[in-house]
Amino acid sequence: MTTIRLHPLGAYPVRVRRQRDRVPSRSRRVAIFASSVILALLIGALLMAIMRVNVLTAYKALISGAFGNSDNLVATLLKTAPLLLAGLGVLVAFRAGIYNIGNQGQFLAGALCSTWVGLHIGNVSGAFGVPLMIVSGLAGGALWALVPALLRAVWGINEIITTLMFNYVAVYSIDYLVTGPMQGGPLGVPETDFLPPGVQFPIIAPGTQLHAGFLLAIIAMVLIYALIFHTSIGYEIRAVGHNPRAAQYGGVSLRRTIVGVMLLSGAFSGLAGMGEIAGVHHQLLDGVDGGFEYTPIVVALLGALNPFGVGIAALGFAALSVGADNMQTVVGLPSSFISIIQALIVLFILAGEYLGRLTIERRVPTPQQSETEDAETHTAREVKP
Amino acid sequence: MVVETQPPFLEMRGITKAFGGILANDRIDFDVRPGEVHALLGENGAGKTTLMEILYGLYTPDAGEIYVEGKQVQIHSPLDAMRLGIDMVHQSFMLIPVFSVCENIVLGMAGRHDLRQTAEKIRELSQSFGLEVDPMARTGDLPVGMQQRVEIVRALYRGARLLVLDEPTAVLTPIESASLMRFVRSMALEGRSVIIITHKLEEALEASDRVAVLRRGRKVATRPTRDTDARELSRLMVGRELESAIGRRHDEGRSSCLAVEHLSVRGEHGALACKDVSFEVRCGEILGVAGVTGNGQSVLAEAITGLRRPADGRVSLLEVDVTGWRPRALIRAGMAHVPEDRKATGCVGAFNLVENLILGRHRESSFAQRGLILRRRAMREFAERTVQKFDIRAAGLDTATEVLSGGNVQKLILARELQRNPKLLVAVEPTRGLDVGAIEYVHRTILGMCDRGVAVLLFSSDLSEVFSLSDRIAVMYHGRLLGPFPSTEVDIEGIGYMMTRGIAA
Amino acid sequence: MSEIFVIGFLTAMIATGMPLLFGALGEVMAERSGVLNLALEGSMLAGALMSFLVAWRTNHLWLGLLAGMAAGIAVALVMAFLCISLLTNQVVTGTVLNILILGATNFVYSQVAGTALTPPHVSVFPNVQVPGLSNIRFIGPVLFQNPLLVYTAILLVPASGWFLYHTHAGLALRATGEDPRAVASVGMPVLRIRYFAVLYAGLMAGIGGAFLVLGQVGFYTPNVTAGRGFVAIAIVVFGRWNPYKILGATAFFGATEALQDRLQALGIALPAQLLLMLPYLLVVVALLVSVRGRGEVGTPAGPRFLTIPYEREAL
Repeated sequence: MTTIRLHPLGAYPVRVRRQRDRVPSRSRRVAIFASSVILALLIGALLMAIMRVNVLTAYKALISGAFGNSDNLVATLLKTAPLLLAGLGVLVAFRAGIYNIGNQGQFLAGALCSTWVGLHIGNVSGAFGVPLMIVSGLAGGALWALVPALLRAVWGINEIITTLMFNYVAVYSIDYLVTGPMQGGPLGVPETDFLPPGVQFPIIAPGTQLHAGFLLAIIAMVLIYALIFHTSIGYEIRAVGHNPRAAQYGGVSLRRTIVGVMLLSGAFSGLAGMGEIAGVHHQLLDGVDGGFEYTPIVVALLGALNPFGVGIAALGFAALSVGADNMQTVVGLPSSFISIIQALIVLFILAGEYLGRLTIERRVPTPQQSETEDAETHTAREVKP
Repeated sequence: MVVETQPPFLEMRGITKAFGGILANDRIDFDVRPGEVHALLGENGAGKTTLMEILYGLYTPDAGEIYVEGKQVQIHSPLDAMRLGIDMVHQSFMLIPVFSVCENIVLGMAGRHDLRQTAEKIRELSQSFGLEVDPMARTGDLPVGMQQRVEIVRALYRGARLLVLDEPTAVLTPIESASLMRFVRSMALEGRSVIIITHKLEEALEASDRVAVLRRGRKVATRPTRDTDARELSRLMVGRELESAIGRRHDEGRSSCLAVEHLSVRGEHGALACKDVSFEVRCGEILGVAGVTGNGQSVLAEAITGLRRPADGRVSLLEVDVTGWRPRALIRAGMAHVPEDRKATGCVGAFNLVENLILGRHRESSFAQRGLILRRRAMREFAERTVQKFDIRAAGLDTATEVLSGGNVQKLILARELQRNPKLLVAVEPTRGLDVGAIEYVHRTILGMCDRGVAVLLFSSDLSEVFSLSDRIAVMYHGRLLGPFPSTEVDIEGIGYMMTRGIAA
Repeated sequence: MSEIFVIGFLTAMIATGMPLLFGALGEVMAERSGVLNLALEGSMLAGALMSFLVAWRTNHLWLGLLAGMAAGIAVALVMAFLCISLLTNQVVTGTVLNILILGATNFVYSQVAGTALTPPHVSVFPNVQVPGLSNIRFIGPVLFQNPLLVYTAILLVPASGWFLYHTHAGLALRATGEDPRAVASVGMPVLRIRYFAVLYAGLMAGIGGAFLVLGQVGFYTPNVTAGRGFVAIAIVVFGRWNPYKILGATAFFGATEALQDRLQALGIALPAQLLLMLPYLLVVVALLVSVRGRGEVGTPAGPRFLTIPYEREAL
């Protein structure tokens, strides 16, 4: 054989190879992110077409609903704060390789704890009102994470299942409390009394609903960034997440790190729940966790477990869900539609991470190789999807 | 005896395989005759295992052809290889520990297998080759040498005509090695062929009919064994003459650094893997602990370095009782540890060089203000200095450690442990899997530390390493410690005997 | 306590346990192959919705069941493709997939049936009496007057046990979860085995979801599974990855759920929410009980390579 065989894909065999241990470059990551969002929106458009909804009208309604006027913008920012706080909580745990997906329960526990404190200290609080609320929110969330944390750290029991189960326990507990012992207001309505003004978040933009919880979330984002990347504690958290055995060898206590990370994670989810009480609802009621059940997990993943990334993801998802309400009134698409889009974006990014590590090689066979090689049989087998 | 004119059973022509731009195999020609024992010699990373895994269908070559008994074949999976009568015993055994020997052997074989009949057949087959194994034993409970037998019996059971053994003696005692070589001979006498992958010259010379030498992905020579010698092979393998073993002056009578008294430690399954062990290491001394893998060395090392809590006994470091201390406290007290599995334990693969170089010291005031806020610039400067001083080769300080070669990872670990001026170094299999240059480097570093008064506790299954470095030598056997003996009073045969029998000869 | 009460309780226990049993018998195969299929919940939910919609529209229960199976497999296929072929993190993928399915089922149900004034409902699978045996006092009505699917599930337990411990394919499946490299080294297709196992889990979860709707209540409510898929995963852990022990664990959880209905019916003065949260609390307690001694941190029980992706050319 002296002729060089032509490969169907081009002059020379092209092979796609996945390289391990290689993080996709920044430009590639941006490309993956952008194409994931576009692909998810396209699928959304397809769904709308099937539903006979005008795609342009719907997406226009989505955008104007999120950013169209200052009221909408404030609504988006209001929604960003709890998503960001809870997303940071998820981030801290996932960074340590601890899959705390009990953010819903911890959110509710924070809300409950701060409501109880707010209702009881209300009249004597003064300047301590809001700080006490913050502390009780943090404590409530952390407390709800405590049992799964200990089970994992001491007995090695999978935290995924236990934190999830605690979500259901929290939902039913809140339901019991707001219909029973803590029920206030009109008879039969599942809600508590209103909190006194002293323990409510102050408004930071006069004339709007924007409350101090938003600032709190921004501060938390910076703090978590500093914690993860600029302290020895963050160093230990990341070490445990990447390689627990090596971390242990390097003097890191796994038990202490796991418990600490879980409590911190729960505390931030609890803070998110407290913010909804002190800033938005001013009372505890059934369904206070609406829209925050799983979204923080998606937000944390979308933000690539980077605090600032989580901030951007929280803003984006808040805009999507606030815009979705407008979309519902304009074209009648339910809000669950947008949760499909949100999950799809993250799924595509997960898949894209793999594609981002593929490198396309063009092999130019040397004369000696092309004589001895049946190019097609080799290359065809190694092309991966 | 092999007839030289016989047509080869296996022929590989122009085999080429690249991994991410690095040629692991570069146009290699290789052949094996029926009834021949062929040694495939080369340093770590020379491409021996890659070549054989291509033959076994685990990798697809980028170019090249394979012929079996004169016919060109395509081997796309181990199944294809087995159908052609080619089988392989891997360096890390491919056995499921929780399965019985019998289950492991029938795994992946087509057709129905009555377990009792299979067991009987396995027993017969293993006896005929002098490789007794109990088909009903739980594989994970068997000692390493026995597990290797299971792998070999599995290959025989599947009717292998060409058996590839990848570094088969790495985990064996001298006596087990000798018995393995007898088996290899008897297999060749039956007309079957054996390929032994090895980096040990003596092994290549002792067992084979021919030796093929690989260096950096190329085959540099094939020699009939009787026409060559260690000198020529080592030159071919390394590309230069090997330096003679590093000399070591023996020095005694300093103060005690590490004292272990009546230490017992539980292993993975809760049973005592290390029983009533007592010894002492003095400052400036190297104590070598030899033993076949799996005799309790790892567990003992983990207990001393704080990764595992002892069940009973006492460990003291510089006269301070440190029993049950966790790694952080031990590191502060002056312990350095070069762990057995350098990539899984010794470093965080996803961390870059800067971060890995401070692992274990990340709360020291020189790297963290008040133990909390990381001093990024100090970390970086320290890393720059260290990388230069210890000649760690990496694309940059921000490179993830997992992409470094084994030798460079080991340099990084040694550099880190050395830089904090320890009083005691616990090194577990510090040179396993490294090439000759890196081994030399590691040995010099350990000896240098010792000269500066550091006490060294060396665990190694490589007897020549133990002998060339140690002042005193002890042997682990079934969780008990024999010795230590001054290295001048024992020889390799004597220690080898203890490793297999647990008693002095 | 009256005989009728006990019989009613046991019957309810079997009925409530069925979706869990199907899910757990599927999940055990996926986990034995080394994949923690958290998307079981999603498969179950999708199965519940699709089986209901098809049964409602066609008035044909068995067609509904088929649709439920297909939906369960479809979700599992996405999970398998991402985790097995694209090597994504199993926990993360499963979680996100569940979120997607929750949104998707809510969306579809609201579009198809949300506007109806009265929620649509279908008749449930009829009980099939085993001739002769169903008349045995006490045992008869409990064990031998059930929908066909119940008998199927019960028979699946020894079938799964036989498959895992007495067949070649079962040996290969168990080996894949213990050490996929060893399986590949003897020439067996690790990825295909894992695909089959995950798809089977999806199929079983689909049936479980279908039974939840078509076998018990006859109507669909959004998020009708309410974490039953996760409970099934916990049952697999509690049952130590063994089909027979899984049956025992399922009976336990079925009993708590059945008890909750009975107590309410008896008018025992406990808050309803306390009874509703009981099964979830018991999962946590069960996991704690199933731990043998103090485990070392970071060494989870179960198949050794559970959650670890397998890559063929690992270099």
